[in-house]
Amino acid sequence: MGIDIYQFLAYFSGGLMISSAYLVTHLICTLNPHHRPVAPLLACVSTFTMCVLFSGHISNDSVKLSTRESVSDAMVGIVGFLPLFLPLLCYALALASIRSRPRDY
Amino acid sequence: MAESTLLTSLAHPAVFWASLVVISAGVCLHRMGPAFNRSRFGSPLAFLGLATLLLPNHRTIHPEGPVYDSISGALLWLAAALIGSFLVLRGAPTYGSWRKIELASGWGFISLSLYASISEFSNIDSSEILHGIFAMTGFLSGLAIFLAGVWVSERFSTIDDESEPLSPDEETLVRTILARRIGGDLGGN
Repeated sequence: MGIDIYQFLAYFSGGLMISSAYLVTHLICTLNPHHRPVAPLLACVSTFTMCVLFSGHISNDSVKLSTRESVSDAMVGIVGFLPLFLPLLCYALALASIRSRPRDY
Repeated sequence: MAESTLLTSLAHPAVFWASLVVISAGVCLHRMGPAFNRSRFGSPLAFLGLATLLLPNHRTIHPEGPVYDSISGALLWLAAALIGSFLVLRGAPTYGSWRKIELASGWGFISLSLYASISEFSNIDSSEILHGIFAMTGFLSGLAIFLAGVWVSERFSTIDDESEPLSPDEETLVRTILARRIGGDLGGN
């Protein structure tokens, strides 16, 4: 089973686009007077833009279609990978189930 | 006939991606907590986005069709895991006493989720796991870049001004809370 570097980069940039798009949404939705969102917003937007350009560069399709393909493939990969996190969730919930908060004296 | 026309017209890539953004916005608004009035729009927005995302005609669009299939395939165990986590955390003794019924039903949902995810995961081949690792690496790298942005923002931010001293009423309130929590009489000192 060989690893195609272009395939790796396509999935990698798709994952980057998903997280940066989610975090841009998060920054906009949680805007409040105590926020300083400029630096993280710039970081996310520039990452997303670079990944869009990169997806268009490594694919023969248009930038729009290659971006959609890259993000879709990454999303399928992440959803398929999610069950591996379920044991971690069970461990955290088991700890929460048996541990009570220490009393304040 | 009119319903099927409406469903067909809604099966569009823009609707698909917009519904994902609406779900994200709903989750983020909900996470703001009760201190912010707009947090009450979180759950309705998230459910609206989920309902739009799960329109059956999205299966036919390319390249988003496989995303629809994977999300709808994982929906059973994801929903069971979310409901189970909610119930377990409500029944856990972290902030109060045990609620055994909620705890037991929560673990029932978690067990269902584990069973469904194992049967779902057994159909996945090694190349799909590899693709998941690639995509997850990209996702985590995006989080790291965001955290670097937060670090830069905090590193170069300054404190605007010092807080005002407490008023006599606020002092009394703080003294009462401390006396109630720690016990004893703090007096006027």
